[in-house]
Order: sequence, then C-alpha cells, then structure tokens
Amino acid sequence: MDQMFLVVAAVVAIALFFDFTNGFHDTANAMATPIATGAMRPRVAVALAAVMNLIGAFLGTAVAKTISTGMFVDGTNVLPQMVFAGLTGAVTWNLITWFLGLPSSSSHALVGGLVGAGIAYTGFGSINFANLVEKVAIPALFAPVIAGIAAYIATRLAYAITYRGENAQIRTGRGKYRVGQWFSSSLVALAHGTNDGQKTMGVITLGLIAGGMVTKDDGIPLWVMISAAVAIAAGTYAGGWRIIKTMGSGLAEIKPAQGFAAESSTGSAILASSLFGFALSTTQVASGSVIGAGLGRKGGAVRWNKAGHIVLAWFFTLPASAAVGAISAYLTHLGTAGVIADAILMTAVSIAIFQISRRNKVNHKNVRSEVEIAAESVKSPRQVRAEARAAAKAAAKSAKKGGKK
Amino acid sequence: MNIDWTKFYEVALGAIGFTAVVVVVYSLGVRLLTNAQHVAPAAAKGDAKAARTELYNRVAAYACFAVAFVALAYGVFLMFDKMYNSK
Repeated sequence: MDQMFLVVAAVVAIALFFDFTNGFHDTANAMATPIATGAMRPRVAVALAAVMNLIGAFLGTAVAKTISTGMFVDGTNVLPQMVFAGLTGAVTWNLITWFLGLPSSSSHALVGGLVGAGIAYTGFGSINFANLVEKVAIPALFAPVIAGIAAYIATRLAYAITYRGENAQIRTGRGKYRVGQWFSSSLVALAHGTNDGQKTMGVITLGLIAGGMVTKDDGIPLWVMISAAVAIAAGTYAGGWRIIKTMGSGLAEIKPAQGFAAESSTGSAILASSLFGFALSTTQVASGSVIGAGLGRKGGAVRWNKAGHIVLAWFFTLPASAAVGAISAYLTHLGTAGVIADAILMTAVSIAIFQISRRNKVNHKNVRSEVEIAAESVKSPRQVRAEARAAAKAAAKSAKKGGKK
Repeated sequence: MNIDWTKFYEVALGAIGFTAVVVVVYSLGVRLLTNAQHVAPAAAKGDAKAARTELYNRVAAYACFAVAFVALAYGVFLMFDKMYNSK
C-alpha cells in the first residue's frame, strides 16, 4: 500500500478523534449553565447540543476553507506528517485539560499543535507570528473580558427588571428564564458546531491537499463534511462531564436568570466576532460569561481559585500543545515508522488518561448531584409555599394521629 | 504588525449591546407574564379589571418573548450570511 496513503489515513483518523475530543471538551460551553440551573436534564442537554453541533457543522464551509490560511507564511511546504504531529499535540492537551476539568480552548490547542509541528519541520521563519498575535493572541485576551462584561450587565438588568421588593412571598418569576435557556444554549451549540466542526474539516482537507489527494480548488469533500459533523456530534453527546461540572457549579453558583444572561452573552460575542472576522474561542467566551454572570447577581460569588486555574490553562494551551506537536514532529520525521510510533504513543497516553479518570468518574448521574443542590437554591416561591403547605399538612396529620392515641 | 483596534471596539460594543437587548426584552416578558399570573386568580373569580390586566400583560409578555426570539434568529442569520458572503 502506498506510504502516503497510510499517512493521510492516519491524519484523517486522528483529525476525527480530535473532533470527538473537541465535542466532549466543549459540551460545557453551551450546556453547563442550563444543566446547573435545572433548565434541562443532563442527558437531554447533551443530546440537544449534539444535534445543534451536527446541524452547525453543515452550515457553510467558509471556516473550513480558511483554517490554514494565515498560520504559515506563503510558500511553506505543509506535509501530512506535519499535520498529524500538530493534531497529536492538540489531542493530548485536550485530554489532559478534560481530565483536570479545565475548560481550555480546543481551537488554541489545534493552532498550538500545528505551529509547534510547523516550527519543528520548517523552522520559526515559516510561522506568521504577526497574524497569530492579531487573530489568536489578542482576541484570546479580549474575548473573555468582553463576554464577562456583557454577562455582568445583562445579569444586573435581568435582576433589576424582575425585582419585586424583598418580600419573598411575591413571585419574581425568574424560573421562566429556564425556557429562554433552551434557545440561548441552542444558539451557542449551533455556533460551536459551525466554528469547531468546520475546523476539523479544514484540517482533514489540509492533509488531503498535502498528500496530493485533492487540490485546493476541489473544496471540502462531502465525506469529510459528514464524518467531521458526526464526530463532533458524537463527542458532544458523550458529554465532557468534568468540564460541565466546573463550568456549571465550580466557577460560580448560577441561577436561571444568570444562565440566560451568560448564554446570551456567549452567543452575542460569537455572533459579533463572526461578523467582524475574529476567530474567538467559544470556551474562553463561555467561561468569561459565567464569571460575569456570577458577579452580576447580588450576593453571587465567583470561585476565584478555580478561575485562576482556568486562566493558567489558557496561558499554557498554546505553548503546551505546541511542545507536544514539536516532539511528535521529530518522531514523524522518521517516516512512516515514526508516524506509526507516534500514533501508538498517543493511543497509549489517551488510554492511560481515560483509565486514570475512571478512578474519579464524573458522568451524567453524579454531575447532577451537585447541580441539584444548586437547583434547590433556585426554587420558586410557589415551590417553597407548596412544600411548606405539604409539611404543615403532614405535621397536622401526625398531630391528629397522636391525639387519637 | 498593524492591529485594527476599531474592530475590537466594534465587537465589544456589538456583543454587549446585543446581549443587553435580548436580555432586557426577555426580562420584560418574564415580568409581564408574572404580572399576569399574579392577577390570574382574581380574573378567574370573575373580576373584569383583573381579567383585562391579565390579558394585556400576557399578550405583551408573549410579544416580548417573540421579539427576543426574532433577535436571536436575526443574529444567527447575520452570522451565516456573513460566512457565505465571505467565501
């Protein structure tokens, strides 16, 4: 069998695996807050996110077509082995941060991995650093801050408009934001599928072009579109419960109005950035929104310790995935045997991370236990009154029984 | 390196403005629908004024929800329109 075919097949396989990890790593972006507020059951939430990601991946191919432009200077000879090595870096970093429950950017991991592999193959001169600073680094600093400010203002406005005095007996109706959360979180999931699903399509196509199997003018092959869309949807449905737990209740206690404000802010930031041509990280935007919404409610608190860990992971994402990408690149330099060795090594690392994660399993069952505690604190006054009536009834009944004796 | 800072400001203002509009409109809907629910028991007992208040608040609330939904849908439309036209 042709060696180039084997290498390209390996690129396709690892790209789809990256897409899968991207899906479960980023489920939290759209669904952590609706799960935390009790707007959706965990399984329903991830199923909805999977469907919206699947639809989003098919809506246009502009992102896929532009994934590789601007990262390398013109004339750089991109090899399939280089793409493979870059993806290795991205997958490894995604799995490590998933294990730690840290919502880091899958897109930055992908960029970092490809840049690291590019440096190892063709040197620093092949990287378009000016473009990376403008398109990746600066938006990475600004996006979470903008989303946080938007979510903070929106939360303040939502609470001000629905405020009905300090009397707890008067219903504020804030539980109704849960219905809105279905739409706002769907929007975020759709935008995620559009951006991230297409990134993988772009990377696979880049590998196919590098392997000489398609030309630049051929566009994205249909089988690439379908396989990438299915991979990200499957990954999303698998649910990255560790990260959902962090974003849903680890960063701040989120109530329905805050959840709606956070998701609207995330969706708006992605929409605005798409309009102006910025490739924002949905993960960073979503995390910034949760922090902003957490601060926006009177008495709300943000767990700054956790937020600090997340920000630290953001800073490490590019260099760490670049380092793994570069190490992989040196292995793949050895030819097909190197690619096979690299694939075996990455598979072993992935299995090891999954095995270690099983010691402290987080899934749709126990992610809810903490969420339910949070949900109890957002009971509507009607629920509180109904429970009080039921308790009084039970007390009266037992008193009656006691009297008869 | 030539960074276009104006674009960043526009993204920031666009994101904050759009979020505020959607959340304010939806929150008004929540407030009005809750108003309607507050007077619903009186309306059910035959109070004509309460019935009118309930009806007006309910209609206005659903109008607000519809506007918020249309705003979200318009945002999605703009995003995909831009993506297709930027080929």
